[in-house]
Amino acid sequence: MTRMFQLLCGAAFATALVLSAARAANADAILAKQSIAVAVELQAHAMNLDDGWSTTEAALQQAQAAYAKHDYAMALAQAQHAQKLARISIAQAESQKKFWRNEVAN
Amino acid sequence: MRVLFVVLGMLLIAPLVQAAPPSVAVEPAADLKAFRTNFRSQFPDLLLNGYVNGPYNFSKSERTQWNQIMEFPPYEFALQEGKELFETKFPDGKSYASCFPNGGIGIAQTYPKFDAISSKVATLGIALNECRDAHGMQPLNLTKGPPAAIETYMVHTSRGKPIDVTIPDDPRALAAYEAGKEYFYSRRGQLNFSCASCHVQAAGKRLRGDVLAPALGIAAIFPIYRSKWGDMGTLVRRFIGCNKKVNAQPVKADSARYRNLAYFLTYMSNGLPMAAPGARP
Amino acid sequence: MAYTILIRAMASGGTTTVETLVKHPMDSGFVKGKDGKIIPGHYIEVIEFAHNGNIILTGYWGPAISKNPFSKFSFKGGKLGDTISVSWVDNKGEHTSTSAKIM
Repeated sequence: MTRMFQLLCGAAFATALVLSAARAANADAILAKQSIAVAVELQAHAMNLDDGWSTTEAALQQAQAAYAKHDYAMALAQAQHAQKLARISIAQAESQKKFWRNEVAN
Repeated sequence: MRVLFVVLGMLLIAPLVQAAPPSVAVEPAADLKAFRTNFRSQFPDLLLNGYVNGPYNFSKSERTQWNQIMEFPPYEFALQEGKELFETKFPDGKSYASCFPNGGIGIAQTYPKFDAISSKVATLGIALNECRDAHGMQPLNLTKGPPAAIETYMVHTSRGKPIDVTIPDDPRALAAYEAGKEYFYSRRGQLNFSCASCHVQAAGKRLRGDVLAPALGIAAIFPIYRSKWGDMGTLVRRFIGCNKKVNAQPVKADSARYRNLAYFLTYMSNGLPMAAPGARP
Repeated sequence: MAYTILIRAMASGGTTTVETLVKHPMDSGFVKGKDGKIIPGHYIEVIEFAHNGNIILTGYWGPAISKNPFSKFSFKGGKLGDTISVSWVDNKGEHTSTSAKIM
């Protein structure tokens, strides 16, 4: 009786472990995917302002490659790096848009 | 959630930070004069026509090596290949000559042109692709390979002719010119350089192992055989390369940004003799 | 593949100078292509220059010579109208030759 009970408890515990691990992995995947989507949007905005960076593009591609390999931790890290670079490039473009001047005339 | 708001906020602000329309009239001729004056006052001993030799005016060793490589110009093979391709008939019996005035001979110095029908600037490469399109053929690469060879041949037939880019009194053409000018002077990329940073402010100076060519005359020598490429390349190929060098993400070769930049840059060399195809390190 | 050789030979003061530009990929066999695979070696192994049929220079080239090699040399002798010929064979067994008159 106790043996059966122990086995049942063990099985229930193992199942719970596997299910929660799967849910955590799924949560990681979703987070990485969202992060990549935001980075893609930011880079598109930077390109529109004529100042998309090649380093942002490289980080984005690394993120997408990692995601395809199910390495969600790496994908998230690269996507966040891409977001950071994209934000800096957007700030650079916005602050300078008004400041370009004809260097030979002024 | 916060990220979503930040992104939305940026997208909302975006239209407000577009470049303000120029409050002064667009005057290409005045720009050209100022451009020339800037360089000529910087390098008083350099003849105007000498500008087409770019970096070779500023480095004896580069000029010596150039003279050596020009004993047998490295673009010779592309020139021969380009001539053959230029004269090859299309499947429908016509050839490139039918798309250009004077059969395409001695006319390269008038490009880029503003195409009033498409409202876009057409470089020589784009004109070649439009010719192919009109005869039911696929467009070709704008940066290298066979089309660069055809351009090499066509510019060779214009050697010595003064560059003669026209900017008609059409608001669209003037806007394209102005867009090119803005691109030239705007900083970009992670290194935050503009074209002017190197080719106006640092013209004649060294950048790592290279000597920077002044922007005046720089468009007179394309397509070039670049020793680094081991190959011919068009002006657009170099635009893309320069973008990458400042860690800016390049755009498509036929994009309006590069067309307008070519329009501005070539106009700034108006009057200088075509010295294309060129050979550079 | 069309293997062009451009050649120019000029005589002056009893010496002839020969310049050639040889079209050849001269792939060393050490370089990887964009796909990550090695581009197979394809290079000229032996090149011979002859004056009026007599070999005057033999070059044992190989993977260390770069693409589309340019070569220039001088020799005592040769006069206007003599023939300078050049021929090469590469590691794939391909070969080309051409000739020109001394100017």
